Amino acid sequence: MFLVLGLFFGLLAIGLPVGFVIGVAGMIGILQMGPRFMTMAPDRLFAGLDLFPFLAMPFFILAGEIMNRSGITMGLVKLADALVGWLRGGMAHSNMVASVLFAGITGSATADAAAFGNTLVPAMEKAGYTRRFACAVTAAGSIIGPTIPPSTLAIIYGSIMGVSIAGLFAAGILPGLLICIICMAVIALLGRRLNLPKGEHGFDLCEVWLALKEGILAAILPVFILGSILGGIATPTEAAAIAVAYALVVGGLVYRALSWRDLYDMCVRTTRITGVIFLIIASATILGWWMTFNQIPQMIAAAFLALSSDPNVIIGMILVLLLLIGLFMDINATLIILAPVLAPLTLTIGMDPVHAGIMIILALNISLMTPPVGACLFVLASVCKESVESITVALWPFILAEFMILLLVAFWSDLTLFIPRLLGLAG
Amino acid sequence: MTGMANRAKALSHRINWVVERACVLLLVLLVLDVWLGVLVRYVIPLPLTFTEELARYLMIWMALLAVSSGIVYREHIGVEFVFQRFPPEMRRWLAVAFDVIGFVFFAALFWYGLEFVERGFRRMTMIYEIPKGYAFIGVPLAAAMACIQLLLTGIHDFFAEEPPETAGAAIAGLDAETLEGRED
Repeated sequence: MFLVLGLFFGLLAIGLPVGFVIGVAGMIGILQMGPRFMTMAPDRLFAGLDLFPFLAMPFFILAGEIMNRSGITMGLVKLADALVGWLRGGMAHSNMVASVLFAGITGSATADAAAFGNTLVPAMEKAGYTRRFACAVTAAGSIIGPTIPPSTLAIIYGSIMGVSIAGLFAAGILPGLLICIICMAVIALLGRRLNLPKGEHGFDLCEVWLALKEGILAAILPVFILGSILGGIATPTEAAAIAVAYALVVGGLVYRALSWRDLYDMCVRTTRITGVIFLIIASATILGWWMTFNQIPQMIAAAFLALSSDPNVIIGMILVLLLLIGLFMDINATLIILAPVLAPLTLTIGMDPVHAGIMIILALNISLMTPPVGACLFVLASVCKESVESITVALWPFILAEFMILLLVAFWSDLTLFIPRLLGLAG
Repeated sequence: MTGMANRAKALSHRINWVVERACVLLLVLLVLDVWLGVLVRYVIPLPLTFTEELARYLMIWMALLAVSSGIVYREHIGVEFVFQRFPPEMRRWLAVAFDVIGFVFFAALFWYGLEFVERGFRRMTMIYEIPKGYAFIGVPLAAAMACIQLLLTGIHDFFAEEPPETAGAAIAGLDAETLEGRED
């Protein structure tokens, strides 16, 4: 076991791609059990992907690609600006609100960070914000995307743990909105101290109406996706497939912004992103099988329970573990490897499965923007040519705020379960 | 020696040209298949039951084949923090070592994947009752493509004039173009 662990962390640290690291560690683990078990590697790899809900992932990626490429989503940025751009620190506020509006279309924090890093960060700099503050706001907002549905992590967690994906989607709405509100409060508090620029325009209802008209086609999609899934009309996969159709019709026929070449390029990108994510999922399934066979989840659970039987302490330990591991490992892989370990533990202490799921997902999302190696931070540092250290200086108030929200979500189940209960998706 | 590196890269891109088109074709079929599933469930009630099963297999084939494309463009996610801080020559040796490790992993997957396929021909799919082996072929096939691309990438890394800057991507789908997007 120590060989597998040593290899795992060693190879991961020096930069071998995560999908390879997990696969190699899993295979070596299986090899130690005996060569006759080796066919379990391809067997688990295939079985790990053979889940119908996973289809929603490539579809949401494709729909997001089409919406972005055809410029439909830029309407959302304008809408966010019209709504809150007039405040002190207006562009920082609209960055947050745009994150919420984008959240209903894409499910990836790092993709949002890259997109905003290329567009909103330069625009904020031009308006007089420091680059590190612009990056910090973008990093803080980027985790709203994968918290508010549709969220890739919710699809993975729901599929492998047999928890209602619709329930997880519903449970993500309030925490996602709360991140936006609290981060906007942080921006407002910092506004005077950092002398953040005021918006160029005042609040104008006409402008909001015009922006709404322009952005309505993009804004409708998340409402439709969520409505159909939460209303129990369509499965996430079906809703995602319809989202692709919608994006194609709006981008191609209404906006007339798509050429065949564009479509081909978007399909290529979608397949490559899917390939990268699915290799990680598949490899994690191999390692997960080895862990289960060797009863490692039980050992970890026993170790947790040996330290304390107080539910609050156990929740605290789970959060620390997730934040630490999510820091340097891909969060999809962390979820697949750790969910089967942690979910039974949360059941033991009486947590609702949907509540536990969203807590785990939120902790992993927050780890994406935690220094020194959170992926969103790394992406923004690369895209905006700013050092991680420098962004961190501006980021810490936001990190603190998001940690508080995580604690709130973890210890106040009614907050998370309010919407799922309203829709009959949680007990 | 850079001639060797360039030849390896050119061959890698030529092979990827075919794989990329196959993946796009599978994605298009996948989208059409699920649309058909939605159509028969909500609009025209036809007794078509194959759509779900077919969709799962199309997705797996597409994703697994695309793994080799990710290798060509170094898009597999890794922790780049330490790697990028190594001196250039060290990066070259590490990159080659990564290619070798990856090659061994996929070669093992290919080898044991063949046995997995063989066993699969004795199992039937749930709905259509065709041998599962046909669907399973995707595993050794994708592993073989990954091996070929890792071999060519390894040759390129070894002989190229400049050692690679990165061993992978920080996130899925974030290519060098996006990273270079900002001009100072």
